[in-house]
Amino acid sequence: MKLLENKGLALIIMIVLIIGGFWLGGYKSLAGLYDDVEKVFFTGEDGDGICIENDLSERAEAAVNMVTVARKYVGESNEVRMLSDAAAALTAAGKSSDIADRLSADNELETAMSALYRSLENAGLSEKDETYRQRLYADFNSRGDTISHDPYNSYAQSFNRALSRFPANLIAAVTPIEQAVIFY
Amino acid sequence: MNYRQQNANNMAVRMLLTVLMIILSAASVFTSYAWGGVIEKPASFYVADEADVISSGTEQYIIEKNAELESLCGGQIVVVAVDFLGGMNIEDYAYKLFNDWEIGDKDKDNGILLLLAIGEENYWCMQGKGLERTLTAGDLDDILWNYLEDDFAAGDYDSGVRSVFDALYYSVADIYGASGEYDGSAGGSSDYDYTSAASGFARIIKMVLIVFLVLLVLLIITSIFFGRKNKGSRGGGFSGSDDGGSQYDRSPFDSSRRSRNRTRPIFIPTSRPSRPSGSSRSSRPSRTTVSGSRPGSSRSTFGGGSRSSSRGSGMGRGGGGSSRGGGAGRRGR
Repeated sequence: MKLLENKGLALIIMIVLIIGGFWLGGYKSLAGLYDDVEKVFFTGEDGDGICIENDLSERAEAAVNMVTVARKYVGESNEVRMLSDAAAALTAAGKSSDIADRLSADNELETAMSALYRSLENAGLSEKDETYRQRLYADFNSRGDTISHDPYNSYAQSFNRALSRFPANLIAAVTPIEQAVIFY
Repeated sequence: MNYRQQNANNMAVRMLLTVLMIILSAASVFTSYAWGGVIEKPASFYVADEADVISSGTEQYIIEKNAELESLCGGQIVVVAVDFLGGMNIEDYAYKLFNDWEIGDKDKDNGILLLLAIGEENYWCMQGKGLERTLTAGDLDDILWNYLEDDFAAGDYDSGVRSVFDALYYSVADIYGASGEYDGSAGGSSDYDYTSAASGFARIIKMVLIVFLVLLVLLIITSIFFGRKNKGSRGGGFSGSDDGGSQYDRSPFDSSRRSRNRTRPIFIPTSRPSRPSGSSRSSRPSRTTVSGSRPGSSRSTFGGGSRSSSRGSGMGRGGGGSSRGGGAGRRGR
């Protein structure tokens, strides 16, 4: 009891509680902001499912179809394997909630898809399959474009700006909160 | 002396005004090419021919067909021809223009933008977000390849615009189940069967047979119930449409996915000869980036094209539509 009557100690406890409360409140606030950003990524700005997550799924689908076309002509070439693996990686990344993993997988997919598209140019495709090749590639790239314009990126940038300012930057330094991933 | 001084002053003022006018004119030309800027909406809205490559007849046609389309479903197909993109990527330019002009219906988001960058030997077509599933980037790519590319490469921009506009028009009309008029004969070099393989002649035969069968059935019924005294009743009409879905599923090699049953007219603009059949068409060259390389063009001048003026009647405006971007174009990837 005498300990509690010590003014110095009481002051220290008060300061710790204030700082702790401030830190905890700030952390919860930042975490809530990040959740909002994630929600836009996974369900869309209006919650209607028009979102990057869906676009990534369609890109993976186009890639898988391209692999199916390619296998008829080039079997299991390096480019086919690369794209097949990249599509599988993106699908696997889709099982977690990590956006950074998805970005990484999507970049690999982009590279692999371009490589396979080019490699099929002189593979003697039938006219029908050539049309498939062009259409799938157009669909794939179109989804990449819609991803680059998605409102998620604005939300992520706003969040990152907020995170870089005082005192959010102090709170972020001692918490697991990280910058939001930008999908270009 | 005063007279001379006054003269000198007047001369100075006139020179100053002239210089000011020159500066302002130059500024108004250059602002349209300012980084990140897109051209302004013209009075007619549906066609903006800053590059001066579209004839007045085609412009008027586009305006009239858009009026029809808009009354049908709120859809809008805007055609824009510029010389240069002011340093912007063509897809970004199209995206900004589409959303600034609010092309298409506000609720259905069923607008289409066809953008031609003549000086950059490039084009892009973008659909509103309401059309992403029914008129995909792959569909647009096909349409552009089959109905614009040849004319564009040859510098016959007006013909190309007319042809591809028709293709886009009937694609959108078809999505909304409109019975637009079109030439039903098979044509084009696309291997995609957007309708059944029946030619126009076969469809007529089919119609005749169905009418005959209906009449026969009615005749039998009336003869059974009413005997020879009764006349046959009138036959029914044929209101069938072409059946046959697209052979291209959303995932064509995965039969468990939902197939997209799509009826699409194959048409040829009436004033245009048929395209050669698929077997004689050269294989599609690889897409190469067009920036920095400019194949020969019939155009002799670039830049400074007159702003589009509405040569026909019809004032339009954006319906409030929007696009998420994407689409298809000529550029390489």
